[in-house]
Amino acid sequence: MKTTRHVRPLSLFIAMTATCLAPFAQAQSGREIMEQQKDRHQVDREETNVRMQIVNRSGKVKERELSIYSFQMPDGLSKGLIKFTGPADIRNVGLLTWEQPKDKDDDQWLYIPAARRVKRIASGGKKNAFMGTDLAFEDLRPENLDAHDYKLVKSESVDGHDCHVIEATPSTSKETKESGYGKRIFWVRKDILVTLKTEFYDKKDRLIKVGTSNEIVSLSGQIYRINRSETVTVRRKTKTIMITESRNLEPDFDETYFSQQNLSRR
Amino acid sequence: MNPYLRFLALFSTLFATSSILAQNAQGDTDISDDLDTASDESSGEENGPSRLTQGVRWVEDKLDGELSLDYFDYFRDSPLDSTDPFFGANLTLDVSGSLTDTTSYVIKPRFQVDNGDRASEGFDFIETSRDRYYANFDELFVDYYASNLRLTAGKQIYSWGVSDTYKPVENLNPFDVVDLPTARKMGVYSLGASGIWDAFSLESVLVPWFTPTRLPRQDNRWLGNTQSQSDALRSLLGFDPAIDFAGRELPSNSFENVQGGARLASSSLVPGWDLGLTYIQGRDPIGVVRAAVTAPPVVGVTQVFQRYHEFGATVSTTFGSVEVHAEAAYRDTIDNALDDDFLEYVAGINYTYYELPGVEELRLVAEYAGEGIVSKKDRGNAYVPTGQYIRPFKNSFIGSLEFRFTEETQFVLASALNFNYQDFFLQPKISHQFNSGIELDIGLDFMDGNQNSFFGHWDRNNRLFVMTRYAF
Repeated sequence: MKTTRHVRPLSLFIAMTATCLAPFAQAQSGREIMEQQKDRHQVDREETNVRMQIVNRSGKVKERELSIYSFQMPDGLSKGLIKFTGPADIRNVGLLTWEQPKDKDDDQWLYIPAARRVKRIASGGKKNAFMGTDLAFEDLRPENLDAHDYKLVKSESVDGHDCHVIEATPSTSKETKESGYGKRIFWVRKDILVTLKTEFYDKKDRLIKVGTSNEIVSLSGQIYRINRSETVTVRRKTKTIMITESRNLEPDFDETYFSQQNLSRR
Repeated sequence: MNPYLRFLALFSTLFATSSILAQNAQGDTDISDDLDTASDESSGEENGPSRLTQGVRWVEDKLDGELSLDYFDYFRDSPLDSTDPFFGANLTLDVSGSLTDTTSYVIKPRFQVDNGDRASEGFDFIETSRDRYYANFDELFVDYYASNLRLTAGKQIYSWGVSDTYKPVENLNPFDVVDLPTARKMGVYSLGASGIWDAFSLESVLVPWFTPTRLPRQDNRWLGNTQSQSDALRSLLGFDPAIDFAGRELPSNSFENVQGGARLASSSLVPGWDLGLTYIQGRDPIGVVRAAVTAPPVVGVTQVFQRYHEFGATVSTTFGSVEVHAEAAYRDTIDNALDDDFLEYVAGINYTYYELPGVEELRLVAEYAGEGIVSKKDRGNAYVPTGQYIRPFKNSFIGSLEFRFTEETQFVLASALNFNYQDFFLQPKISHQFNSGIELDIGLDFMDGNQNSFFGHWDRNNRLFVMTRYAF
């Protein structure tokens, strides 16, 4: 046929132009990708029941059961409540967090059932391990986009999925001082903007731990959640597995649920 | 028998008991699975678990609670009390559930026995006995919750203070101080209502029936060195008394004796600060001592529970890694001549240090507690005010150092030092968690000081303690 044997110069020009322009048309900054990720998967409120397995280097497993509640405020900040439902020795221990703007410490309170006491706690220890797990307190907070710089490094495939590779570094002196991480690297799936893998580095650029998302589910249209994740601390050879047992995206609570009064309720 | 041999014998018994229970505890799946299999095989029931195992598993599935076994070995004898060593067992259950979407219930019974007759009563609705009960409720209430309103009714324990040790504003609940170092709050039957509006929360409580603090009986070594009480009476009366304890004048259950309180709090009025104002009108659960000379030198001593208003304030915030708190309460005694008006206050910090070699966490609690008499009452020769014998912290340091070596093991050094009389309390304690359900505490209680000082008059009660707790 004429068109296959003789490619029209205009068509070729258009095709070449489109090919050259494609990277620029799709080019996004790391920050933009992280913002899109946050906007896409964010919901007003959520309740999740999680089973947590803490595996030590000998393979011994400790289980924790917890419920995680979150609420998005109109100003973009969030409130969160974590309540342990098992095992017996930590049942009803609760952690309430009110997120604050980037230059302020989050408000946090801990409920100790044995003392029947709600205690305000300093968030300066956020780099430290949460309840003996491989997760730090700062890992449980929503990603603070204003406290980090995000650099799009490259594209790479993980488990057959094309991913943006984004490097996050603290951008404020407060975050630099208080965070346990010098940098984190995220592998974010390009199609659904879910983080498949995270590498956490200390301030001497040594790999501390690796987090992977093993089971991703679609909830409604564009929103995805991770039903199973693992965080492995490389040097200690320990890992924490989080398994979602149930989830509710339309729970029946409002902002008042995230109060000290409710933190101490059964 | 040598006390240390007694300790080793008991420790071994407690440890063996705990280990048997631990074999059926949840949490450490690989070890418990192996032990369950071994238990099944050794019982000959290769097709299923033994009846004991079945029973323990049923309890774990259906009930939540805690079994605690206490052993106290005193270093010195007491003329009041020959129970040495002391053994006690407590079983507390924790049953909660929902009645409707908005209404839930909490039932927490406690069963206790001991070899010192601390527990010798059956059951009583309002806990007025000076003895503990074999069975009663720590808490028993229904809870209605809808959006920003919460209503509760039943036996409850309230916590309004922000300090870690001594809390001047917490006076809604009496205490069981039958064993001073293990003192615990007692629930009160009450109606509670709380609501949240914008930046504020308001909680109000009504307590229709009076419950006194449970003090040690005459045959309990924790009554202490009665010399200080005699000295107080001698200075009051002008001669050495022979004390005859006449009993207690418990308030009648009438409308005029209803107690109540309210707390207004905010965590967002000043961002980053927890602020609270409290008010309580009630009766002091310990009371004052009224001395009446019947036939000198015999003095009849009666415990009377004076009414008061109390205005309190609390504040808590953080500066970086440090939590800072303070609370104060001003008490205005309504029954004018019975007790002084005074102000109690506590201020302190809480700091956790994470980067100590060999230690996961080092937590420091340090508080200063003080008191000022605002109005000294003219009591004539009738009453001994509370400050002379039950308000310990007039110019005091109270604190603790907690070394958490691992998730399972920690060492805590708790202390209180009264500067006025240089009397003190010191408690070193090591705790270890064997698995998710079993915890063992071993430590020492030391008290010393002038015989007329608060801690000094219990210096015969220095002891070794071993406490095992199994949570299920």
